[in-house]
Amino acid sequence: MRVTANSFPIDLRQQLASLMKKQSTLQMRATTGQRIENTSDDPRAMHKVMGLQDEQRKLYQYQKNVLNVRENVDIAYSAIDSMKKTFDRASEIATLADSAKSPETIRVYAHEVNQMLESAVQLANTKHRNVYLFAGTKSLTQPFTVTRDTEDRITAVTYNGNEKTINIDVAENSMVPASFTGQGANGVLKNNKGADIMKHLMDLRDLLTTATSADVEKIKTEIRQGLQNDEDNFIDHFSVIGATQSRLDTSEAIAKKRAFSLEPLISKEADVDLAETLVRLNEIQNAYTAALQTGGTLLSTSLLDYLR
Amino acid sequence: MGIGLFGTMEMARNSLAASRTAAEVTGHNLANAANPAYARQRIKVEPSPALPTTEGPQGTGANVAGFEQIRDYTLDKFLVNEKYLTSYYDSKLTTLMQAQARLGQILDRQTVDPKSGNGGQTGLAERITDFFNTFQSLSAAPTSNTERRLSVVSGQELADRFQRAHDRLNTLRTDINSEINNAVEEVNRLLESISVISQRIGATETGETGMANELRDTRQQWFETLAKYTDFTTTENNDGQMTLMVAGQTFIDEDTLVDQFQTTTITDNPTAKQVGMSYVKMVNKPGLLNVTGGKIRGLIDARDDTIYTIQNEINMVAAGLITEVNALHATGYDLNGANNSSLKFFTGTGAGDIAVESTLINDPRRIQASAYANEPGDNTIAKQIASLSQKAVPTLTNLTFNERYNNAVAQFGQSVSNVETHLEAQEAVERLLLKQRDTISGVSIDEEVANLMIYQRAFQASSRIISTVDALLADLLRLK
Repeated sequence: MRVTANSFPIDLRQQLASLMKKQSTLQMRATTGQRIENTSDDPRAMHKVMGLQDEQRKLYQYQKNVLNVRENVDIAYSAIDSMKKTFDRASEIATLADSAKSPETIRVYAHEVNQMLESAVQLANTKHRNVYLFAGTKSLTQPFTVTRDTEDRITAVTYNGNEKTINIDVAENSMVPASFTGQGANGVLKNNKGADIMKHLMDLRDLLTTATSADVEKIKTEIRQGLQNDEDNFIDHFSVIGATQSRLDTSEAIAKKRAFSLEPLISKEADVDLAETLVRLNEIQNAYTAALQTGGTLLSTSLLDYLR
Repeated sequence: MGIGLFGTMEMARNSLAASRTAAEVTGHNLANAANPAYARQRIKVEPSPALPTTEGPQGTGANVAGFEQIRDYTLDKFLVNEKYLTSYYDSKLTTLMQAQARLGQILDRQTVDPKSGNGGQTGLAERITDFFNTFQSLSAAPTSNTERRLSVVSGQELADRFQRAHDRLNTLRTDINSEINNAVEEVNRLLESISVISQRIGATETGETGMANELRDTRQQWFETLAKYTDFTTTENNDGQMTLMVAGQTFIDEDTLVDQFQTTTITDNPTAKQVGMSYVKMVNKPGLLNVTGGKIRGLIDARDDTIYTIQNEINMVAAGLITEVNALHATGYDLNGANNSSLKFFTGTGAGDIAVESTLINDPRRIQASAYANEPGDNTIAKQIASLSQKAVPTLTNLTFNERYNNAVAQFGQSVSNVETHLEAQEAVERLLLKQRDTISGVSIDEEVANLMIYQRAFQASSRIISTVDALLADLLRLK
């Protein structure tokens, strides 16, 4: 085969260009730590990475949803817990108000129960981030409004919310209830199983105010039963909230774990093996140096150098 | 009776002339050593006619019979064919790389995505996910003005990405039209030049005065340049006249330019991908010219196939998104408890004009996220819109928005990758042929210098003959 004047330079140019391209690719991989940047680098891997990252973003959103629900649930728990403490004292008063005490003594309790009623209404209208917690889905409407008599005592409490709650996704095809109703089948203050704390507090206050022996008897037979229903309702809600909190913890942990487990899969597709890349880069750099040295030597020598 | 002293002197003179001419040709070769289009030349030396003598025919030296170009014409044709294939893949790859950059779906693992806490991408894919995620957040706080505002902003970002991708790809397709126009101008200039030089070759070679070597070198160079733009075939008749055809149509007939390229926009029942696009036709004949190779075909294929496909896919995803989101939004109620069934979330019909309804931008409270009147805390519609991220959409062959888009991007990437592989293989073939041609036609400096030494020695020897004969003649003259 004839080797001509252009053979060496053309080959050398092509070899140097090829080595430069390889160096550039390896350099980029070493500095970015990525094996792929554009889709055309490895379409299959890119497709997989896009799918995995999409999944990661969804899982991250589920974690955010968990935080949102947890915030609502924690605030609701706090409000219900305060109501329960109020209720505990009312229940105690209902027990204390027996026929052994004078009507005057019993009437003193009436003032205390009236204040408890005011507190209960206040707690029932708890707002968080401008949203009423116990209004169902009518969350911008104040759920409990009151009617007062001439002595400014609450004579009636009206529920303006509804009985609907919302569910929020915390995982694929998995939801948790994220709101509460004041009244209804699962109402926090009034349910279908006899709980109606506002009414029971008003009745207790009124009976304590009149404080006849018949009233005291009625407290013992009817009001205490009503308050027992209220207590059962609070306990039900505590257990529901506890279960929800536990589920939120589990969902969050699962979402975090899944998102974390996706990372190695993404890394496997997208990231570079740094050791291998650096060794390869070193090899290419050596080849590049060798090409320059040998090319320079060959190009600088010809028959002319040996002719006088 | 031989040729005598004067005959010998004449023979040596011819020999000197042959050596000098050979040295000149060597000089010419050396001067073109760096010219890759140049085919080395040799002088053709033939013995002078023998002189009949009583002892038999006696040699009278040598004469220069002509110049010979060392060229393999079959290899030249192969090279032209390979060049238009290389150029086809090269222009296609360059264009697709531009499209890939304009698509903007780049993986960047070093930048931490504040929304997911992970390294992310910077394209449409994550904007689609983010959009649905903001509706997830809205479903968790349906009355929150902040979440409503974020949903609107996320919708705007998504719409902006769709529009940008669509517009950038549209601009690229329009830019390709300009490139085709430029290529057509260059083809016409080359056709004209090839026709003119072919006529000069014909004129030079008439009367058998030898081959027009340099003109043929130049024409070959122009053939190879023309092959960068289009495929073509050439034939030569017995008189050496050349005919050049593209896609079965004659453009140069026996050295005469008979037609040229022209760009045209199809108006007769164009398909969607052809609307407003440039194609190639002949100046003197109707109908499109079906160029199958070179830059022009590469540009048309990249524009009408791969780029149009990804653009169309993006458009389908956008159209599906508009339809699905709007259908749900129309059934909902806003924070004021009102339903407006004609209030869309997205306006527009596709990626080119998608935008968030201005009413919602001005007042996010108007987002219809609740399924019931006067129940602003209801999140049914918000949740349904968020769930669209997992819905198998019938208009997208029952794939989700992300799946369809990701598939389209992967398919596009595969197309780019395939063209890249084809180009690498094609460049290797072309390099091999170039090397083969260089082996045959290229100038070797060592070879030329070695030849030069032979010619120099021959010149010196011929000079010695002249000086010897001269001495003999002087001796003869001294006899008087």
